[in-house]
Amino acid sequence: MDTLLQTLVSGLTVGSFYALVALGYTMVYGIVRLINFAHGDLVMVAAFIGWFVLDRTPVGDLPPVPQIAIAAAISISATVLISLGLLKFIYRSLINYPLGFMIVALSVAFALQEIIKRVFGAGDRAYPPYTISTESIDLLGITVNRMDLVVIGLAASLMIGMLYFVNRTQTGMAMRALAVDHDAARLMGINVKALIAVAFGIGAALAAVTGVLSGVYYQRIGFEMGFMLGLKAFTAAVVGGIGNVAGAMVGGLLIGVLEAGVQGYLSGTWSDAFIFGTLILVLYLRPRGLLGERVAEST
Amino acid sequence: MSSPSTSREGKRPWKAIIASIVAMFAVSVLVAACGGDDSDNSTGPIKVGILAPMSGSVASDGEDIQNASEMAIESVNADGGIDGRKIELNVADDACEAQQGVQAAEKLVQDNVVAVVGGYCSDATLPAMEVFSRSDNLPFVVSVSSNPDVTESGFENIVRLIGRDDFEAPADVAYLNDVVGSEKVAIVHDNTEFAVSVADNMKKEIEENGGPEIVYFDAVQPGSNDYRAMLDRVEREGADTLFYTGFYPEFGPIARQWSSLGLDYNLVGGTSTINSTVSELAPDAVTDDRFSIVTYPTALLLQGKEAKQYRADYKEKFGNDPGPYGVFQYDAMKTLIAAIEEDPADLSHEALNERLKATELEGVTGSIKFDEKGDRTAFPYLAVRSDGTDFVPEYSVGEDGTWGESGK
Repeated sequence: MDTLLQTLVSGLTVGSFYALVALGYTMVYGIVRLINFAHGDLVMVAAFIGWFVLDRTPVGDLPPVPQIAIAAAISISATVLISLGLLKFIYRSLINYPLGFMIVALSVAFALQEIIKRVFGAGDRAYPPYTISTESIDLLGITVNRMDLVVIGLAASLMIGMLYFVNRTQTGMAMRALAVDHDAARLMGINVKALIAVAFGIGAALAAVTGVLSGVYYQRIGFEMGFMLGLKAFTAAVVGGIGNVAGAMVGGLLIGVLEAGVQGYLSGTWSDAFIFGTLILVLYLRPRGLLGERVAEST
Repeated sequence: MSSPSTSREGKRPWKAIIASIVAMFAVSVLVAACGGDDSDNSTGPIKVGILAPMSGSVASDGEDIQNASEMAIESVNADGGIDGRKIELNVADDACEAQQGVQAAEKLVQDNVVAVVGGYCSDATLPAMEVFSRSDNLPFVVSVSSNPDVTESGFENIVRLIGRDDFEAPADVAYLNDVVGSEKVAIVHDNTEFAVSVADNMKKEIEENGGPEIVYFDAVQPGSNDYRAMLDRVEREGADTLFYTGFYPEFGPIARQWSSLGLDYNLVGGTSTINSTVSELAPDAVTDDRFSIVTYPTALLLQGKEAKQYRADYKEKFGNDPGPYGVFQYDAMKTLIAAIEEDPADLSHEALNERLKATELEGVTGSIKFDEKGDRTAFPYLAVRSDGTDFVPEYSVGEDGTWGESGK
């Protein structure tokens, strides 16, 4: 029983990372119906920006909490700027060409990896060690890392915040209107361009949080860390029901727990086969994902 | 002549004749070259070929190999050489690839070297071996290429200083038996070809020659960050030791999570898990008594007097620390020098090959002695643990092939 709980905690932590990244995919897809394949690599870029601030600037001399906060703030701002820059100069003209957009986004993903590889080198980099991530505590008889609680807690609050934002605020409502029909939304006086930027910006901010959080927790970051994470998160978004905020969370947590469960109780050798097999089954039974594709439901 | 030309003779007489002429011409050139070889080699400096990657992604290791070679001949030449003949190095760049390897090998053959020492990338070493073998079995002392095929291809002109890839698994199992005293082991790989083959060979070795019961045998997904599900599983399966055959980027997080979960079993990493990033990520794990890494005796890990001397001399001469594998090149050069010194008058390929295989000496990397294939009889693997700053050997494989405390 204890080890089952232990495996569950591990799965929820990994799943929270997936969920945060999946939210970015889902936000953008919900509005422009496009998949931004460079999203996973934004996580990687953000992790490197955070590392740079902590390791190469005087910020690293501050006590742990403020230095992480400052690094996170800088990383979030920079990542959002990069994302908006990409949108303005590259993506904007391709928004009506899904295939072109997909290829360009993939190219951006590889370009980001190459740039980071050139600038910071191909070897792994390590965040400074923080006691919060190196020491474990006993919780209800299982050994958890305090960062597990931080990651799960932070991810949960961010996700609840996102649900509130999308369902209860005016901007969120405008976004949902946009998801249903661009032209009708425009006729209602909704600023489509600005809302697309908001979606890209929120996605980038969540990616940055994921990147810095992952660095602080696991210490190790590398230029190739974003791609597989992005792929798993994208899968999570689709399984949960892409375009659906709650679906992204469910999908992310599901994949995380499934991964840990398969490794812990079935076979690690076949882990990816099991996971993707399950996903095929889910999508076979529910083509629109577990919670349904928001946009499709409304049309 | 060669069988293809004779078999075609009936059908295409002209082609066969031309082919025969060309072949005969080629052979006569070779014979002439070899003939000249022997006469050239009886006077003047003794020319030794160095095959190393001097360009490309591992060029820094090539430079290390060249430096180590220079160090090895320094004292010999300072004493006036062997029988009054100094040793002269002839470095050929194999660029760590097959085609360049062949060209570099052909250059060395044309330059009439008495023997070749080197070989870092197996991709370049294997095709170069073909060239040397065709050149009347030009002696080739392989220093760093660890592909089993180097000595399994049946060539008679090869001895090798580094341990073969497939020697690791028996050494790993012996370590579990002799040092760790493991009774129930968990073997984990990462689905990559190298790690799977080490893991499979360990399993085979245990089945054939005895060892701990394998209670868990599985893989982790490389590139992931969280290995706690696997680590807990190993505990649940009742293993007293976890052996990881994969690579260091995963071993860092594994070691870190192993120590932070406070697990009861030993953690041992294979030869590809040693890296400073592991200490960086898991400072508590790498100093733990139950933690160790089985590794090659690389330049910075060796503790003997000769090794310390090697490091000091190297730093003095070249201004930086030696690379990890140059020390095998150093020992390879010393092996060749010993074989030459035994009878400097007869440096023919056949005689030198015979003497190389019979050479026995104390090298920096341990006792050197070759089996009939040309591999070292007991490769001196080390088991290391961190002292807080560096990895330090705790145990090593001795001359008799069994593990024991490492002489410090």
